[in-house]
Amino acid sequence: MLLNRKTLSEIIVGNHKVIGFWGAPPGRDLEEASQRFDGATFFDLDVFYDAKKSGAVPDAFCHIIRNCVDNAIALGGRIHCVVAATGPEKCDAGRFAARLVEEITGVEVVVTVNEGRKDPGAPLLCESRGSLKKRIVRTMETIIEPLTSDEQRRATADRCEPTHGFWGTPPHPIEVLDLFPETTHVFGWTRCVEQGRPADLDLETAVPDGLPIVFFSQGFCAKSMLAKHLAHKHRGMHVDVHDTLSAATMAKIEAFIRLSEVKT
Amino acid sequence: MKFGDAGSSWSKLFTVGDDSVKIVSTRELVAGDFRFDWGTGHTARNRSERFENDLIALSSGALALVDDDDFTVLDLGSRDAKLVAFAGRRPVKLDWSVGCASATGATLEMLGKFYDIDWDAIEVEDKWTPVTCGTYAIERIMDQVSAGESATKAIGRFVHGLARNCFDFAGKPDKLYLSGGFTLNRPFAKVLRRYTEVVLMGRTVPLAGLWSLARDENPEIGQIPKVLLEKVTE
Repeated sequence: MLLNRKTLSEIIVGNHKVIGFWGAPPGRDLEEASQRFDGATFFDLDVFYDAKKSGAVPDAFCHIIRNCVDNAIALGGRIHCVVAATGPEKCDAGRFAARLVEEITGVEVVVTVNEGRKDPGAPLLCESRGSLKKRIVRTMETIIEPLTSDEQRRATADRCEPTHGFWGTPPHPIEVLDLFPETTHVFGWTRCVEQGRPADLDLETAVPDGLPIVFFSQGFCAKSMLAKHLAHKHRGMHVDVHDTLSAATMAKIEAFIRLSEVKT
Repeated sequence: MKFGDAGSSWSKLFTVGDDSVKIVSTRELVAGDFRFDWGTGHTARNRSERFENDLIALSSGALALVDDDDFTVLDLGSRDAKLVAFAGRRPVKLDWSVGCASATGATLEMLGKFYDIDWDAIEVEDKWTPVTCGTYAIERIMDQVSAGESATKAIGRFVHGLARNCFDFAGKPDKLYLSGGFTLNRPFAKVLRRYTEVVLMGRTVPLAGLWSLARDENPEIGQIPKVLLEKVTE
């Protein structure tokens, strides 16, 4: 299976159809779609591509879900089908979005639920040193393109002791992650994805004590309940971001990182 | 070495060797050619060799000035409110209300000028005006005054509402360290004390924070000057 890394506009004006997906659907459903459509590439609909606002989703709503819906509507006939995560590994909004996209676009939507693998995999990218944004983006890509053995070796060799933690889903805007140092470990749903258990609430809520962690939630996401609770429980900082990263939010994250660094 | 905390309305400047902090209007600062070695506050961003965001300067200053392990500091200036709560001297809550300009100092300053208010004559009572939005609050003050209420009473209720908001924003602590221009507003401090113990830190906490950060890099600059540590005399 291959990921399509073109932009939304390039796909719209191009000649090839893609398989859209959101969340972390089970590998078997993704494989099945790939076989049905002759190895067509996969396009991650969660990502912000500046798609035209469809207006299908209310303004006061999770931006990631809006990305999923607006991207799918913008692509329309350029999609073979959408493989949609709709179980506890995503959220109720994922389930509702699947219905919306099917009704509005007429495109086939494969409704999936990911129970996760039996034994969690190793959190290689989540615990290695390096750009947090690159590591989280790559983690999401592993849904379609798992780490190569070279990458696994490198991530293992680059494992670092954490100075900070980031908990949550990949944020919108993704630039939030540029504020974190390279020694930031990843927790929450993103870690669950790397470990192959996106619906595992125990794993999602597991964080080490004593590490300064930013608990991120996307505005209007139900996970904000977890983020706020965990931040209070572990003396971290809860940050809730909707559309844009304000100067105040940036300052809060910068200050938290600077003032709470664990010296290694 | 020059330090500057350039807020929305007022800028606080300190040069090593000075025996006082110079306060100039930010309009004057913008019109002039002021430059800082260390700066904070959004107007200082492009005028500083080293810029620290407001929360970092405030937090560093508070940590330098307060010995408690667990404490909350609120900086209330002309435009916004900034909050840092520490537990074990580590920040556990950082907040910055930037958006609503109308509920803080600039509004109060404008009201004071409009009604020619002597702040020492402000009467603070049990009643308060809800300050969900400063524009509505101003409208209510004007309505009350035109209905025959005294401006000092109407503004007193606004100040009371503002103090309640700040107390809520700060997480209702048992003790609150107050920084910024509002430390000089006696009616505000008086009514805030109905809700919590208040320590008035004055307007120089962010400057003390900048000094503290500069000293981390260059210990030779020595201890924070006394003039940056002086609390408000009541």
